[in-house]
Amino acid sequence: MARQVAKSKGKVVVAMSGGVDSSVAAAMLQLQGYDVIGMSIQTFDNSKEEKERFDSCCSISDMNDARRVCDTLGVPFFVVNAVDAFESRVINAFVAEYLQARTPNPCVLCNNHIKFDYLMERALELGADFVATGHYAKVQFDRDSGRYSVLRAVDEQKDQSYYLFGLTQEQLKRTLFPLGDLRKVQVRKLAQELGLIRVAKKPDSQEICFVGSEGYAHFIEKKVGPTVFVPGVFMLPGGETTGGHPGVHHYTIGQRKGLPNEVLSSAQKMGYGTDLFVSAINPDTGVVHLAKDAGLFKSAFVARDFNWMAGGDFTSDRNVTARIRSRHDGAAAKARLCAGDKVMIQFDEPQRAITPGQAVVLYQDDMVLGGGWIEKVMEGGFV
Amino acid sequence: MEQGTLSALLFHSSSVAQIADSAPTFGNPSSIHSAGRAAKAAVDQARDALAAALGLGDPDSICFTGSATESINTALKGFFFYHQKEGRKVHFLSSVVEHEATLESLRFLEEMGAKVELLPVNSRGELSLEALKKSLDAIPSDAAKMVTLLAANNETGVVFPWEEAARIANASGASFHLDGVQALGKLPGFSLKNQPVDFASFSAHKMGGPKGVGALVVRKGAKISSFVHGGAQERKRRAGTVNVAGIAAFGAAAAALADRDLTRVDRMRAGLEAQVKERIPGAGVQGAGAARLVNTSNFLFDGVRGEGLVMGLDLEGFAVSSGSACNSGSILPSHVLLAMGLDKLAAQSAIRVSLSPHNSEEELKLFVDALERVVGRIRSLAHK
Repeated sequence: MARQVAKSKGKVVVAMSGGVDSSVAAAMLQLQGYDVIGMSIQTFDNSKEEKERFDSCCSISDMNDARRVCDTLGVPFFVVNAVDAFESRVINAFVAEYLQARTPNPCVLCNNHIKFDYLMERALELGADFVATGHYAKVQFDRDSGRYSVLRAVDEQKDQSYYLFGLTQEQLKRTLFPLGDLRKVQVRKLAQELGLIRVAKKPDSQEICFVGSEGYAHFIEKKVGPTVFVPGVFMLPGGETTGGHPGVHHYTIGQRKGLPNEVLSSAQKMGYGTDLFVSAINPDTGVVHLAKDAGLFKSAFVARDFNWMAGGDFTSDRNVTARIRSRHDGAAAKARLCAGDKVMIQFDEPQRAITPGQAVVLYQDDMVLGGGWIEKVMEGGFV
Repeated sequence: MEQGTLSALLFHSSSVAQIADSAPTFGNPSSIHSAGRAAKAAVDQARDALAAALGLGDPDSICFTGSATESINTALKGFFFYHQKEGRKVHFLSSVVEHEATLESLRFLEEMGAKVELLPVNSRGELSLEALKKSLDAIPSDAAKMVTLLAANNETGVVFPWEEAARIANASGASFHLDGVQALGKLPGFSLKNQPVDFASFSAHKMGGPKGVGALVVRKGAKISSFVHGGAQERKRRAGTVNVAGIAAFGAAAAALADRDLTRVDRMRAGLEAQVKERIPGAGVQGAGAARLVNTSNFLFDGVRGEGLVMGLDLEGFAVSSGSACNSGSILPSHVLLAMGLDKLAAQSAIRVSLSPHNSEEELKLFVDALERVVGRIRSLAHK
């Protein structure tokens, strides 16, 4: 089914997961006149773990689906080995963050360090002009500032612009997101029409791909062994301590499920009720602070390693919309530059569960201004 | 974009393909009727041709299988189970650079109670016969012993002194299995004639035949348990209806070996290595100082990963391989190069170029042009 192309618009490596989105992205680019090369990234040594992993993103069967799609399109397909890079830049960072009582987002790291840094290097080695993915997002070049930026996708339910704040100008210059103007239902329909029947009805991938069914705490313990965990106690809203836990990596800000029964019953005896949430975690002492829902609402925080995609040369506080996790709709806030790639951000209205370790992404309307990592929640505000 | 192809996979000649097409495949060679007899005759003819190519006086010592991997599994596991049933301890002596078919079978047999020792190689990939002798002497005399070795390495082409090794094994009462996959058709003068080899494994597609057919030589009197039960085919050594078309083509490819000009391939390979070293800085050939097959070059280019090279050359129309592919198709560090003392990155960086007798000097020149381009591009990015 190789399609005739009049004049090539350039060589593009499409990052293919074997799912419907990247498959349709590849097919669309081919129709638009690009020379398409499919590429999947191997992030695990499957030979060691194949019994445990069959159907989440990047498994062998997914790679075979990607291979079959490329065969249908009549384009080359390669699998690149990113096992070491994934281990060092995604998994190790994920584990280290939990041990620091932060709640990481490995999917952002993977997007930055694997899908763009690593895969783009491989693509350039092949002489490619562009890298494309099936992300729901758009790239825009702004003539006035001379900079590239990421825009939200048309399908706001599927928008993935949040994950892409770390891309550099050099990377954006060579990035194509063919699905940015489409809705997911259209993409599935296109897959049918383009003959990509195998992937048209595949379910979306969801969970963190490397953690597995036993949960992230078990994964971390297997990875680092039992000795490094800081056990500790729970602190009730009035400052009373109670109960105990084997390590802070079991808890995350805003968490309600999985608190020990003894803690909840002593909280009830002391008149706090049982409707309690984790509001803060101290990695040095192991103290897990509990609060009523209202106690989870905070206004200001500091973000580190900030990438100002749209340019960061402003002096007064900037009005932005800030999203503090992938499932956060975003809320009005002010951003202030600090020394050393840090940014202070204060919401106009307090937001629930601002969580160290998560990524914060700032928008102006549909445009990503930049993003970084939540380092520390501030008591009170700075504005 | 198709400029030419360098690949061990492309030894095929039109006559081999024709034979596969015209083989009498309707009848079952185990059947009594005439169609069955015709199929049986085609298989027997192939057996004779392969026996002649291997220098074997007894064609019945050849058992056809589905692959060389199956042959190796059969030889090793069949040897183990035969002697285990007799109540003997079983010792295997092999090398660290064997094909996975051997290494993983031995790992499995170790779990089943076998003793396994893998001999090291030096930085040129060579095996020490003194070490082999010493290890054999250390095995208790009441144990059943098998030495299993490559004739030549599939990644580097380095040739083992397999004839001497077989004699040493024989002298100490050990059985000898030869993984001859790479040697047949690529090692000048290769023959099992008068060699004390008890078992030997071969693959059709490594010498010009089709994929999915192998052979296991079981010297008369050599003892193994059958591995596949359920019929009297292949003298009860491998039950199951045989692949008549594949075997007929295997036989045709074996018959064609007599006309193969290995001297020319050797000369082309020397020319290729000279051109590569002259035109591409930081190029090395693994196992260069050792005896090697005539058609294999294992190249390493400083600072260039094999993965990018293989992909880049594929897009230029050339098929080469790198390291060992894992089940997803990505490239893992080569255990052979690690055993020769290379670090992990280098062991992931080498590419293996295999020449066919059908390649031309012109194709080699185009190949080196492409190689120079791809290596240059990858290096220019690394320096940014």
